Amino acid sequence: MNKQAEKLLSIWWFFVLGVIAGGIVIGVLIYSSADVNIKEVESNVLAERIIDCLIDNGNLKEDIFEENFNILDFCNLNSRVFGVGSNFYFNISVYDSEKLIFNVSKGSLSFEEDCKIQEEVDAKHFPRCSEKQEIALFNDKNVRLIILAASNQNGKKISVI
Amino acid sequence: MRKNKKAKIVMETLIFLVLNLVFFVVMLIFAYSSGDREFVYEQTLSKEIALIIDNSKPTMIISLDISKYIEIAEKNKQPIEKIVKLNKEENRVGVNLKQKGGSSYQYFSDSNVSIELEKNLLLIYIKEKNE
Repeated sequence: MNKQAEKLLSIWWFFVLGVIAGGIVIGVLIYSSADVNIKEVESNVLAERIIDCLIDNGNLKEDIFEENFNILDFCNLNSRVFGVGSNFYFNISVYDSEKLIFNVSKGSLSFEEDCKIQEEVDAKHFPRCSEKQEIALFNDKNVRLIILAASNQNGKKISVI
Repeated sequence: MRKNKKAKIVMETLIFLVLNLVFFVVMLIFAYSSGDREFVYEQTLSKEIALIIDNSKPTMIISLDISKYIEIAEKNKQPIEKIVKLNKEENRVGVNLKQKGGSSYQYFSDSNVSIELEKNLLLIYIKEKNE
């Protein structure tokens, strides 16, 4: 093999090594930046928790119709977490036949619209939502509860807590 | 003259081999050190604990086996009592498996939460808010 061909071969060899190195680095970076997404599970947990707190043995608790009713205190939810700029949202609607008899929303109210968009388009940074319906007894009548819960929490990287 | 030429060829081959060896050693070290990406584990544990807290009710005690995480923390010389921390002001669970950095996740439950480490088990105490 002449000298020129040898040089050319070693240049190609190092080029191939570079490509392999690049592939390994990209693969590792993709792996290490992987995100464990639990938004959907979290919105499910929130919806279940609200249902569990409002319905007791199939009966809708009467407390929700009291004047100073506070859903966050009642369901043991932290008021700061559901404050301004919250990563969470929920809406509770109670229907007697088709008539809305109770409605309350907490958290980031814009998530309700985002949930509708999310149904149509899969957007990475949009909240994940969970809608649950339950039938409960109230004053010997069947009422329908619709709970919409959403979470858009990504978690934080921290240096020191 | 001929001897000189031979020495040059040997030298070139040697340099070529050394460079290749360096490349593979660097790649092996990089791949090995990337295998234990703590951040993924930190994320997983903080989210797992936050979900447990949100899914539980007052007067529950939940025990979680974190031996896998303790192993990683010990490898990084992180004291095991500093692996999981609660920030009650912000309702956050923080997990640090190495001395710098970490991951935190917020829980929405308003219960009074406290944690305790017992050997390889993380005990999560869920109490009433004012307890």
